[in-house]
Amino acid sequence: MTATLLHDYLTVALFREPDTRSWGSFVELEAQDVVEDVSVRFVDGDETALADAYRAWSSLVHTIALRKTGNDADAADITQAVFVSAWRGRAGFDPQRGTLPAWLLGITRRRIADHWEAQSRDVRKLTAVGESQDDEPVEAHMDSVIDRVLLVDELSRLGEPQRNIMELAFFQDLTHAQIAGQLGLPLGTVKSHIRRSLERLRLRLEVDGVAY
Amino acid sequence: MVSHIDDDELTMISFGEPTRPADEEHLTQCEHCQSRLKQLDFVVSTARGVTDADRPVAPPDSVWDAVVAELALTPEKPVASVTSIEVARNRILLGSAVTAGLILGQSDDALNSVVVARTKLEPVAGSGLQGTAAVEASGDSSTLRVSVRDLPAVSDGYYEVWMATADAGKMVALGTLNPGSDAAFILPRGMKTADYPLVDVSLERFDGNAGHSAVSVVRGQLPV
Repeated sequence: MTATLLHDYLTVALFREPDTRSWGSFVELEAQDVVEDVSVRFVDGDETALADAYRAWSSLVHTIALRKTGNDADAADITQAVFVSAWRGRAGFDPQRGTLPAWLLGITRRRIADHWEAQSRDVRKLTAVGESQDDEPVEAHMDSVIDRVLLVDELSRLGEPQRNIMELAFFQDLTHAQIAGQLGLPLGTVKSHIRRSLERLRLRLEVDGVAY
Repeated sequence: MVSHIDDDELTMISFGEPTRPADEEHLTQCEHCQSRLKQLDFVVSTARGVTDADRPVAPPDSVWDAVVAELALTPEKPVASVTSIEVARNRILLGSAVTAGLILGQSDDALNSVVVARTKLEPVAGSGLQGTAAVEASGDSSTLRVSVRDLPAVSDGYYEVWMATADAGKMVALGTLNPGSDAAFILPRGMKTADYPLVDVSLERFDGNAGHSAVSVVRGQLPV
């Protein structure tokens, strides 16, 4: 190793001593930036943005399709159709009117509706007249499935310690005070994390969900 | 002039914490606070209704190939499923998902070192990856040994191992983990694993930024 290289190495090493930046705020910042950056490049027709969007949201699209259809092959077909039509129809995406994931989920819903439409056409061909397809209650049930899938998705995008705090509050039914005790954080900090995270989850369900 | 219930208080009520009598009273009369609470209740009840079946399921790799083929594109593959990470999901369910087993005094057959703490590394955000981390003590030196199964190769980045405080507020970068091999890191003398119990493996880019990329692939918590 030459002296210069050694010097560079030591400088880098010194500057990477314990990093005290919190993951939480960083993740939130990055998440917003990433969505914005991908959206802009997507509209511009940058092919790498399609790959980025696929990385980011294909699991969400696929999970919803899978839960809605209950069939692996149909879910895969719908996921493929969503990304193909999103790319072909990217001129129709207006960042002023909503986020890219919200737009993709809109396409997902239409593709799922198309799927059921085609299914019921097939069923009508096959079944006797008068046998109604009583799928209303199933639809209502499935809407709450989407909300839950979205909630899990948004929860996973929270930084730490917010995600940990929300999991303790939701799934272990701990009180704010118990969470503060367990994590060794001030109660006020826990309260404000929970308030802000709950609001963020609410917004996600409002923007992308079906309940409102 | 009515003063509404503040958001901290409404949030606590939506989680089912005891309501102050004055707030209870206010809620019976105030439509604004009722509708606010209804929105928050909806989020809490949705979350509490989450089951294992609501976990995200990544599409098979063939779907991306089909998209590329149908659109006649030539993009690189979106690096396996590893980077469906920052965006994705999982890890959820049942609290801190920290599955930790303390195995005290189990001797390591390699050296005279003793495993003093061990944890499974669970997938973060849908990475689907799993591994283990163990702290071995030998004399006055401690080593963290990390192994992640089937860690995919990345073309424009690398994996880095971190230890962090339980709230992930402070972290220490330990070094690189290469796909296909385990790695061992000598811990800084004086750094207590009890203070830095989280073990995290992140995907980093060659961007000159020494901080955590915020893209974690696996994480676990050592028993303290």
